[in-house]
Amino acid sequence: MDQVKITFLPDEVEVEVAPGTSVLGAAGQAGILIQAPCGGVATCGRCVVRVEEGAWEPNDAEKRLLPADELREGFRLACQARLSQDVVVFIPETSRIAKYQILVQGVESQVEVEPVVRKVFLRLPRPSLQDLRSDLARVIAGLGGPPTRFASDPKMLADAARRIRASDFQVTAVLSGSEIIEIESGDTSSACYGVAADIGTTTLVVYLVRLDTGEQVGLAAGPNPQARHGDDVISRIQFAHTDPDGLGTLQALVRDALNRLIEQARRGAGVERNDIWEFVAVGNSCMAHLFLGVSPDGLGMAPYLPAFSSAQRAQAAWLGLSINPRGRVYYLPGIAGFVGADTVGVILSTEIYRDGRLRAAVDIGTNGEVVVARQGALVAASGAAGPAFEGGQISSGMPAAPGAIDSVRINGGVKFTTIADAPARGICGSGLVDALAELRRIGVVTPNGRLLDRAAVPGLDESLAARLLSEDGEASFELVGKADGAEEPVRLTAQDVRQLQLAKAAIAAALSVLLARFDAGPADVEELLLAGAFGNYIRPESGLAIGLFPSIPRERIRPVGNAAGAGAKMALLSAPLREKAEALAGSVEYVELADQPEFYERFADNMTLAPAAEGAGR
Amino acid sequence: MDVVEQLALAIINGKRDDAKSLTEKALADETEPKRILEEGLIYGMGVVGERFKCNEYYVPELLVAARAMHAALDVLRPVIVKEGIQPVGKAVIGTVRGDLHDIGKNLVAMMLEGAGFEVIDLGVDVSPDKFIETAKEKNADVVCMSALLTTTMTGMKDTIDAMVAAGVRAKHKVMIGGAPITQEYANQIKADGYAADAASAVDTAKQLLGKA
Repeated sequence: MDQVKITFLPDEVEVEVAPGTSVLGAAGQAGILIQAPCGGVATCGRCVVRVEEGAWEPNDAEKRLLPADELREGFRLACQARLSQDVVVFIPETSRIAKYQILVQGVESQVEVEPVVRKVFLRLPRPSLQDLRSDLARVIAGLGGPPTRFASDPKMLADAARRIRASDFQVTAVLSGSEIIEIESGDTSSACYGVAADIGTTTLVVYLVRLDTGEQVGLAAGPNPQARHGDDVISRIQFAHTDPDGLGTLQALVRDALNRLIEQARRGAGVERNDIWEFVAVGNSCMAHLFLGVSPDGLGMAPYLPAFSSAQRAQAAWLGLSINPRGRVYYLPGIAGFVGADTVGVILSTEIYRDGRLRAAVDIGTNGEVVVARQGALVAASGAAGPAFEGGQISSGMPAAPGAIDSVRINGGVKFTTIADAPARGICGSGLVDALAELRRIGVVTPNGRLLDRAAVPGLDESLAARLLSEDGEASFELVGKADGAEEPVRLTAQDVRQLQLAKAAIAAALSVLLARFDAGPADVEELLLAGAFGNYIRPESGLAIGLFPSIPRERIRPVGNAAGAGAKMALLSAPLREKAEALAGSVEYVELADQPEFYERFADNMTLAPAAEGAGR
Repeated sequence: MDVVEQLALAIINGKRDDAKSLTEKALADETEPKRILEEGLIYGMGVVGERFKCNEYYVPELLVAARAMHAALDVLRPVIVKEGIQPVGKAVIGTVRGDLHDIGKNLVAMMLEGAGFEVIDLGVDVSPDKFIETAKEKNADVVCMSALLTTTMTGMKDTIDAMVAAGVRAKHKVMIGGAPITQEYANQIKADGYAADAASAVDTAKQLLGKA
C-alpha cells in the first residue's frame, strides 16, 4: 500500500509513513516531540494539533475533549488520527515537549576518589631468557597481585602483544575492580573518564568526570523522549506490554538520548569517546528495566514486582552506549517495587541515615518517593502522587519550561514570576503550590478545598474578586488574564484544586505512614530534605501552608537538589561508596502503601489544605 | 425538625455518633423503618451526592458522611431485614485483578449503599471468576468494576468476556470506572455503563436498573 505523506508546520518537515500511523507516531518519526502525558489513550487532551489540509472527521474522543469551535477550525488530537491520506498539520507550541528547567546541581559531599574503574601505568620489565613470563603474567605482576587475583578475557588480550611491544613494555592497564578490561600502549592514565547519569522519568542528566581526580568536566541534560509513550511509568509499562516492539523502542529512545547527552558533554570538554570507561546510573525501577532492556511487565500489576532490584552490571557494547565499547555499565540497586536506584542515590548522597536523628527525604518528581530514617534504620515508600505537581492534569498546568509561572504572590494584585521571564503560558509545580497557598490565605479556597464564588467572599478586594470566574458551571480563579497581557488566560479551576489536594494528600499520607513506623508523627521530623527539581524550586512556606510538608519550623526544611544524580557520581568515584549503596539498598524497609490499612484514613485526613499541626494531618 | 430530618442532617454533616443515636431514637419512637431509610439515610446521602456534583463536597466530606451513614445503617439493618424491605438493587463491586487501588471504588460502594443498594464489596485484585461467581450467588443486578492503571484495565474486558463465555452476560448489568477509563472504552468492551465519579455512578446504576 502507498505511503502517506505528512507535513509538519511550522517546522516544514515532511515524512512518509505507513497508512494507519497516528499523527503522534509520525511526528516521532520526524523527530518532533508532541506531549502525550496519558500515553495516547485520549484522556488528557494535550496532543492538540491543527489540520491545515486533509482534515478527517473527529472521532468520539476528539468530540469529547475538544470544544466544537476548535473542531470546526480543524483542531484534532494527534494520538487519535490514523492517517489514510496526505495531510498538512500545524503543531502549536503548547502541544510540544519543550526544553525543561533541569536541576543538575546536587549537594556535593567530599568524596575520596577511589573508583572501581581506574587506569594504572606500568613500566614492565623486559622479557628475556631468564624471564619467560607471558605478557599477561607480566602485567599482573606489575599490578602487584598473585596471578589469580586479576581476571581477563581473550577479547581484551586480542591486541595485547602488539600494544605492549609498541610502547616498549610501558603500558596502561584499565581495571574494573580486579578485572583487566584493557591494555593500552604508553601512559594514558590521565585520560580516564566516567559518566554518572540520572535517568529520570521526565528528565535525563549526565555528568562527565575524571576518574583519576574526581573533577567534573562536563554536564548535559535534556528531556526523556520516552515521554511520547506516556508521561508516567505505568503508561510506558503498558506500551512495552502491548506493542510488539514496545520494550525495544523505549530502550532505544532513552539510549539514544543519553548518547546525545554524552556526546554533548564530552565534546564540550574535549574528551574522546574511547577514554570514557564507565557509565554509572540511577533511576526508578521502571527506568532501570527499560534502560537495560528488561521487560517491566511485573511492575504493571499488583503486587508490582520488578524483574530485579539488585545492582546490575553490563558492558557498554551490549547497550550501545557512546563510551568505550569495552567500558563498563553499573546501575545502582533499587529497593523494591517502584522505589529504585534514584532513591538509593538520594540516601547515599544525603547521608540521611548517618546522624541518628529522625529525618525524612521527599522526592516529588513524577513518582513521589518518601524515605524516613532514624538511628540508622531506613523505611521507604512510593507516594504515587501522580502528575499534578508537574503540571499534569491541571488545566493550565505545564512542566517547568520557559513561560511557566513558577512563583505567585497575592499582594494588592497577583504578582508572579515565570521561567526564563518568558510570557506566561501556564503554571508549573512550584507555582501551583504558591498559588494554592495564597488563595487559601486570602480565603478564596477553603481548608476543605472548595473554590468559593464572589458572593461567598464579600470582604475581598474588588480586583481580586473580579478574578473569580464561573464558566459552564466550572469555577476558577484567573491568575493571568488577557487584561494582564496574556495570550491565553492562566487559571486555577475548582477541579485543579481538587487534583492538588489529592496529590498533596498522597505525599503527606505516605510520610505519615512511614513516620508511624518509628512511632513518630509529622511534628517530630527533625529535618526534611527536598530532592528533585520540584524540591529545589518550591517555596517551603507555601508547602507548609497547604500541609504538603509536615508542620516543622521552616529552618528544618532543606532542598538537596539533584541528590539522586549526586549519588550516582559518588558511586562512580568511590568503590567503598558503591558497596555502601548496595548495603543501604538491602537494609531499607520497603512499605507497600496499598497494603497499609491505615493509608486510606491518613489519606482522607491529609486532604485538608492547612498546616498539619492545625489538626489537619495525622 | 423531626428525628428523621435531624438524621438526614447528621449524615450530611458527617456526625457519626449523632446519626447512630438519632436512628436508635427514631426506632424507639416507632417510626416506620422504611421512612427512616428513605427520608433519613437515602435522602441525606442524596444531598451529599448533589453537593459532590457541584464541587461543594469532595472526597473527605463523602468519607465522613458515609461513615455516619454506616453508623445509622448498622442500627437499622436488622430491622430492615426483618421487615423484608428490599434494596433498590444489588451491586457487586471490586477493583480488577492486578490492581490495588480502592479509594475510588470504596466511595462508589458508599454512595450506592447510601442510595439504597445492597453492595457486596469484593475488595481489590478481583479475578473475573470471582466477579462472576459472586454476582451469580447474590443474584446481583449490576457488576461494578474499577481500575486505576492502564495496565490493569484489561481485566474489565476479561471479566465481560468471561461472562459471555459462561452464558451469564445478560443476567447482570456491567458498569466501569476509574481514572484511565472513558466512555469510549466502555463502548469498546461493551460494558453497559460508565461513570466518571462516585456521585454519577449512582445515577448510572439506577438508570441501568430502570430506576432513574
